[in-house]
Amino acid sequence: MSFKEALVTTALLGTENQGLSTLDCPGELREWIDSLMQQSESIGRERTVLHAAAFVYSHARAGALLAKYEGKMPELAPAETMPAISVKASQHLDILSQFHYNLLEEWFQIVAQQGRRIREDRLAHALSLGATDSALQPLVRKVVGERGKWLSGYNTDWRYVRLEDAEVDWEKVADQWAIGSLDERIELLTIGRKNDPVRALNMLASTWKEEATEARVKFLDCLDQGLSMSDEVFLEETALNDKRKEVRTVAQRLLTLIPESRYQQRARHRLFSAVQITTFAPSGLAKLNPNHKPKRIWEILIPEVDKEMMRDGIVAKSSDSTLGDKAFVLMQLVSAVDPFDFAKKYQIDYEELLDMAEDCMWKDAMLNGLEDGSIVFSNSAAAKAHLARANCNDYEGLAESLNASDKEEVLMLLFESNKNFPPSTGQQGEWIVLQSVLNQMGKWSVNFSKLMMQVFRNHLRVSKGDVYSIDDLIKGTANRIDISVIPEFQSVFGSMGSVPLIDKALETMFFRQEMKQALQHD
Amino acid sequence: MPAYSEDQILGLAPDESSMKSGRELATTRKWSNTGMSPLGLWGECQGSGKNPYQTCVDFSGPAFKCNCPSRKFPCKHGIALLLLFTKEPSVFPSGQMPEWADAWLRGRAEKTEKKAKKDEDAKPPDPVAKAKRQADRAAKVESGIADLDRWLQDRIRQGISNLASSSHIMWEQQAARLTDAQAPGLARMLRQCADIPNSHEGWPEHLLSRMALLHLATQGYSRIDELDEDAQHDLRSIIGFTVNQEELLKEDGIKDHWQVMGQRVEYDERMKTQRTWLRGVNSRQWALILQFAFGMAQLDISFLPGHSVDAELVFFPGSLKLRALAKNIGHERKKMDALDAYESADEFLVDYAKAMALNPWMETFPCAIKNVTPVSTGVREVVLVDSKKNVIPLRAPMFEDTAGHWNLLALSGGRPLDIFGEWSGRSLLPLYTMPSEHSCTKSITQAKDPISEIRSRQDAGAPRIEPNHAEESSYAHDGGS
Repeated sequence: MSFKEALVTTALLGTENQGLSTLDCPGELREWIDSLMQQSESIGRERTVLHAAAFVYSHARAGALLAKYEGKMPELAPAETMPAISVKASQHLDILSQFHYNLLEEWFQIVAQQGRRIREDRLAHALSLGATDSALQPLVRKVVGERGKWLSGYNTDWRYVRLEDAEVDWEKVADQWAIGSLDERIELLTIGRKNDPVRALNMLASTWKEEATEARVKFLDCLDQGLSMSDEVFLEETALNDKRKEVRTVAQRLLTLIPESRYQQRARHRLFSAVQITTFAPSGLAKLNPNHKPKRIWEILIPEVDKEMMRDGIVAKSSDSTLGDKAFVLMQLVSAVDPFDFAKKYQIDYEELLDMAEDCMWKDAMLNGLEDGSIVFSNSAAAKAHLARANCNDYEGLAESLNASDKEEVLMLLFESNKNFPPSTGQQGEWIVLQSVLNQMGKWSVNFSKLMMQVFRNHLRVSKGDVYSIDDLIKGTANRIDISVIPEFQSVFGSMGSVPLIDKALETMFFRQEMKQALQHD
Repeated sequence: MPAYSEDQILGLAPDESSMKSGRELATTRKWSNTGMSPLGLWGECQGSGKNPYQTCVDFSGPAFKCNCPSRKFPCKHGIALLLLFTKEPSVFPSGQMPEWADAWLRGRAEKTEKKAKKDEDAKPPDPVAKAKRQADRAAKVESGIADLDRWLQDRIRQGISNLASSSHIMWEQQAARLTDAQAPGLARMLRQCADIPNSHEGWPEHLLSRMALLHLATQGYSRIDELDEDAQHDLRSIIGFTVNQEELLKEDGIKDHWQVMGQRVEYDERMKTQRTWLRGVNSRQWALILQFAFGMAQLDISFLPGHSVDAELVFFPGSLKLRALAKNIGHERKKMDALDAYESADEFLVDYAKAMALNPWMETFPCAIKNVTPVSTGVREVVLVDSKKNVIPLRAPMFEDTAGHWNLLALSGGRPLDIFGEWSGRSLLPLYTMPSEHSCTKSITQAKDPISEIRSRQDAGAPRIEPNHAEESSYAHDGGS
């Protein structure tokens, strides 16, 4: 026991229980401590302990030496190839992350478009923003420059930056794959899929039998990267036969996205066997009318769910309270095929297919199936057609499937067909379409921004100046309007005097303007 | 005109909401009739009311005046006006002050003049009454210290393991007795001890080291007359005796061009304490300026980190002469282009040991070292490595907010930096860095060593602790203080 430890022990137990031992007192303190112990009788045991502690700890603190570093010094960060943003623009990053979080994406986008990089003193902040918000990751990756990529190598939370460019040293892969933690192996598989999808799949297949269910699910989720027909055999013959439903569900999702897969072929065969559209050739005078719409009828024969269908994820019992078991099966059959492939099979326009579905006796199952299919296959045009009808189940899902121009187009169509837009509460569907699509939108184009100003004008005229019924819309406008249209916004609402909601929106717009200006200057 | 940074101005805001609103209002669109004079700024801000708000900023504080109904101080308009001034000084033409601004700005200037005159004319305090007051306090302090000495002995007799299960009340009662005995410094040290039991694995050693420092103060005070004058001041400062700052400001100080090496603000409930470290370019003297603000009161922003300014500083008495008051601060600020720093941590630690020997209660010491490289040593840990491979631990971040540590790594890019910070005896809290190539070439060892000079003045009979460098501490801990 060292003298320090003896001191602490005595202090802990108390001098009435434990005397102070000076046996292991180091040489340089010996003389002083011996002299102190000789006075112990006169000053008392407690003071002796406190005297000794004061001496020993002050001595240690004053004389402490630092440890020597024996590790490798960090490699130098490569020189930057992009110019940095201005100091002022850097400061905006702090303001945005504290007060205007929903403008961060726009800020990163502008930095990326200008081919600039974030200054060193904000890199850690920017990398951490990406670590907690995966939507920002692709943008953060573009603007952190060489220093940011270098820095990300020191913190595992920031590994998303390196995944893009990382190369796999396949010679070391076998060892890393065998002994790494789950997170490290997911990273390895993700990088591997980017470099060589087939080799990465073989690596996964080599240990598949030993993997736990949780790991299997997470590994399968990595296969989205580089997914192709090369993965089909593994997914069809191994993953789809897994005992655990969670694993089979991911395999089914992936196989759905491989058009040539046996899984997709089965799905088509099932749908086209169960659902047929018969077209009747025109007769009589109708033959002479080029605009004549041929008569079409549904022929639907919903099959019993067999083992093969169950293996493919089709459930016999309905979990949707609005659909019976048969309708539920039909809905699943329809949603398993790209809705445009369905229309193409019977050589009809998708709008016409939707019209027919509305008249079908299995209307709900058919429309829900087509809608789900639009989302599953991220079919933007199909999603647009559903949203334009404003009679959907999953507005958010459909809005997410739209590409940027289709989002604006959907809303333009709604505005054109509804004079009193934004809709009243009676137009529930239209209102939800508007909200769902707006929530998914990035920055508006100039044309769309101007159209929205027209919408606001109409609304103010009809509602006699009521702005609070459209407060969410105004708040959204502040974040998305093209800043060249700000004067028009001011002119639309200018006659209303000072309204906090409008003032707030204008403040946000002017902040965006300032943010953009700061990014345009060195 | 004083130059303020945006961060300094925003630091004056009473809360985040005022900070945000101040930023948003700092745009020319919102302001009219703006102007400036050597005394201050003024402008009118259009709010939601019919008439615009009239806002003034007095440069001497800065102090703020606004006729808006906000109870916050300074209000968002004051913050915005000063921000706008730093962003776009051209929109503040020098000109005739409007009446409302003139009344306030001139009124303040006159009040300051009157106060200075009153102070000059003030009668000196009655020396007999003063001596009696001092004797009364000394007796109270003596009694309080004797009580603390008994209390510490009781704890050691019964064993500090008992403190692991005792409540804060026990500590608070003893601290309150010290406050009553007019020894608030010791009361503060005792309150800090209350948080140590069970706080971490090495708490017994940590607590014992802190109790030992209290013991050192009680023993030192029992024979304070035997100590040299500087040591007496150190001890009196630890106990909580204050120095009359008005009297101190009457003394001659050191006039120099002072580099603002670093600044930080500590928050204790509603009390803000701003610590600003300065370094004299010619005198090479360190100085610590402490400023306090309670509640919504604002902190002084005369010192801008990374800049230098002419000023005269008067130092509080004591062996280290670190704490100072500033007077006659110039308005012109220059950007610092070099840090006057030690070549390695070894050199710094020699001076730190000398300082510790002079004042063992010292909690932090200014530390500037050249050529340190931030190195990541673990998943979430960054340390500094100097040119002699010494590992300088960084102070553990508050609330696991490691951004500051990562910023150091980002700024370096693997290259060395010159750094300034506060050394606690175990770790460094970085406050300012710059790339090493800008470093000052002067060696600290060739310069006048202020600590050696102080030592030469010491009374040979005063108790001293000679530092010893044989004991190596790992950078993760040294249980001591």
